Amino acid sequence: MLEDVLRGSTSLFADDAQTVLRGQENRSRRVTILKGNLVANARSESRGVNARVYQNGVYGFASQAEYSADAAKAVLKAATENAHFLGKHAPRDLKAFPSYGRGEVVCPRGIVDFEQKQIIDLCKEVDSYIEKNLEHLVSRTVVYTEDSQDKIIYSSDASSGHMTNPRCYLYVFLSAETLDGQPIELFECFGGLGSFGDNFSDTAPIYEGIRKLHKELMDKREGVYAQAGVKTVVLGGMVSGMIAHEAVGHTVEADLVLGGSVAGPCFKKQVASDLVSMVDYASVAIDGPAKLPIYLDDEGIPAKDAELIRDGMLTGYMHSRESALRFGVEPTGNARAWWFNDEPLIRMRNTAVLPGKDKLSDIIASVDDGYYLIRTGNGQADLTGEFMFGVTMGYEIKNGKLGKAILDTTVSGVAFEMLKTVDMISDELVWSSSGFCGKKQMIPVSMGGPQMRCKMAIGGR
Amino acid sequence: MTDIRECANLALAGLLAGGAEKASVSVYETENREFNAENGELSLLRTMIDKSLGIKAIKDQKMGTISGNDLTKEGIEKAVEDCLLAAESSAEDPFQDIGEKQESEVFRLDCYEPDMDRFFERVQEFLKDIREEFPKINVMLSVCNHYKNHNIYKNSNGTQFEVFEGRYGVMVEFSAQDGDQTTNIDGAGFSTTNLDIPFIEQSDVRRHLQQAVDQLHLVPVTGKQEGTVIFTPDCAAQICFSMIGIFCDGSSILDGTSQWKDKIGEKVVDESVTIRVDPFDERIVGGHRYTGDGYRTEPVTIIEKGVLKNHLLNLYQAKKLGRDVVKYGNGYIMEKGTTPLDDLIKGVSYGLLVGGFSGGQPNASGELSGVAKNSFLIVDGKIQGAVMETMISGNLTEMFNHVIGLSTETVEDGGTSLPYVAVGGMTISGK
Repeated sequence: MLEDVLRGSTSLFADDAQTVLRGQENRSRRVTILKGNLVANARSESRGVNARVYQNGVYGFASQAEYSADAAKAVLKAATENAHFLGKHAPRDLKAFPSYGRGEVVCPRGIVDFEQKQIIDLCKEVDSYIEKNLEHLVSRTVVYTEDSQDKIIYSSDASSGHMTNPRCYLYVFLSAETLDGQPIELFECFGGLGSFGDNFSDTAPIYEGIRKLHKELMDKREGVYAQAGVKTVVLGGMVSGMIAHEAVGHTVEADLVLGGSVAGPCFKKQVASDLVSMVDYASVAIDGPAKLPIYLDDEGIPAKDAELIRDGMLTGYMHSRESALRFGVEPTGNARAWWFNDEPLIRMRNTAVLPGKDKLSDIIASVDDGYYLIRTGNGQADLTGEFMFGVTMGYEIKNGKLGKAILDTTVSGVAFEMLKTVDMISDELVWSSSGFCGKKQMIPVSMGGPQMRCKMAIGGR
Repeated sequence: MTDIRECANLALAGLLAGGAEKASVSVYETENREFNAENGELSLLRTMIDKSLGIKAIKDQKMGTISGNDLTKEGIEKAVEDCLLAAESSAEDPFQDIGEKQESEVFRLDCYEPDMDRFFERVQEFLKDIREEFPKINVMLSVCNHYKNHNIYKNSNGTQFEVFEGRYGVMVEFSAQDGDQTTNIDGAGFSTTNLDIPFIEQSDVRRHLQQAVDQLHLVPVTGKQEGTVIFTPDCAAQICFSMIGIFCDGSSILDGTSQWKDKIGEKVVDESVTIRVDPFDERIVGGHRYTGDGYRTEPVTIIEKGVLKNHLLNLYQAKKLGRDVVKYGNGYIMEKGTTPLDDLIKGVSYGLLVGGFSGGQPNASGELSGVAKNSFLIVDGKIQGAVMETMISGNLTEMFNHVIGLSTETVEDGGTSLPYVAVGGMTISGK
């Protein structure tokens, strides 16, 4: 955990500027076992300090890979000079940010380190379990990843705090071949917020999850290609979460709204069926603590929930201080940065489609001819709301019953058109928190959703 | 400690004194100055002074690696201690190794010291040029930087490389807007050492901007049909990287999932296709001079006239497989063809010119499907207009075995050089 060496540097904040000083350490641990061979065994710690100075409508930013009072002094000076340079040569017509009060925000957890040997032993144990118990595999990989952020934030006119965001995951990749020799792969990840000890003291859930993954992989061995075209689909919770993040979430980040996203002209309009509501949660979600809680953002703004869609109507965006000023609203605490040398950008936190009242079994039974899409790979979306993401596991639905597994495919659509076709939503909420979102910088995000019935374009042959 | 050579010496000596039989150390010091623009206006000037340390120890044939950025004497000693502990915790593996001794060398590349005044003028000019020449373009984000990198690599076999390298980078993301109508995001970017040419004239920037404006004119695509897809050079690079990653990368060879694992010397794609990695090519900026294993890089041909020449095996993968290490760096180059782009388009009865591909990561079988972004419908040899909600699908191996032609034109972005690539037999499906 970082010790606070920055408090004294706040006396160096300029009176005529809005300044944030952030000290930060990122820590990562990684172990990879590929078919029994340990091919990665790495630990990393990077720390430093940065300052962001806002003046004359522009920002100056500076960082140094050193966490000390001297480095804080140096980055405050350099950031101020950068703000002066840009303000002199290219000022923007933008006022100072309103202040919403100052305070000290408390984060309820710390960071606990574990020895690399314990991590390696867990990976070896899991690898050994797979080798001994699972058949028909071409390859197997067990990966442990841990990334944590430890931040001390001081603001000239907003809140301050010492924030920590530890998370760790165990990924299991299983590869096999279809009956005609085509390679196929699935992966599952276990873990979440907290330390190695918080997440992996009991391995029984991991083995249960691996057996379920293997069953799906064996189904996929006999899989068929999906038929390309617009189909009735039932989206699994992870897939709905991907819709929440990729297809809708990015279009309602206020910087992208300013950049011309389709969500601009749609504000206060119906963009989805009235069954659909969506929220980007800060620290507490509808079903309990958020998977990756954010209490204070990197501009010193206490994080609060951002309601995005209510009963199908677009009701809000996610904001930084600048975008909130431009829209005349209060910031939501969405400005986040990944490394100590990154400036904060508007990023999602825990973004979810809210659950409905239907049962999954009833939703599947209602489909005569379609697909149940369970697992996703990567996903992307655009300003227009046009999205795509890979589907790595799914099943045909024929006459209300699950049929053959399908091979990897891709689904796509336009968010605000697709969401209008949603006519059933389950009462479950499935979260995924292991991902990174890429938008100039990487950032950890969580996403959630219920099972939903809708229409969507599916790729295939 | 301020001298990265001293840092490297301290870390290497510590690893060997701690019992490592083999060890390597990399130390970096970098400075990045970056102008950011949002919605066409400069908004942020950023200066980042960074340093980092990466060390690897092999002790009793057990490997551990550590990275961090604390280059104080105490910080380096702690990293050494942690690295040795990580190695001791690891599993014995006889194939862990570092590269044999190479002749030491200092490399001075590109523009280490920037001309920031001239650079700033070019950045301002770039934003102005876009505003005036393409009034319907909204520059959502532009990041223009100078990156300066001094690094040193040392290992216990006596190899030492030192690099001084600098380059300018330009990246711009934009869309075209007309009233409430917005196009998808398009973008362009390149690395350069050349401030004599306006940025809008460099690489493929102007074509991308015009492509975005042309996206305002949409035409429908309905149903499903087989056709020809012409990938623009940057999109072709994305597709080529997928193919090489799945079929030629050392990890897919080692785990046995590559369909090309036993095909060295065999024809795997159309004979018009030659792909190599050459960090020494004059079109490549910031070419790597040494590999992570401590070898001097060499130009490597991956595919020559359709025949697979090399897998990309690092030292561990090579030793594990009983093969030779491949000393590759960066700089992907696909040899150009003999047909002008206009003639490639004229030859298409039904198909797409695809400027971007948004798709799921192809699996080991190479199945590819996704949305054609920044793309245009071609019917009877003529471009009809831009498309939305249009998917393409195919198989990477089949696609590169059905190459209809490669253009005479190429695009260089400092990291790659590729032509337009026309591929037949693709499935194109609309709404």
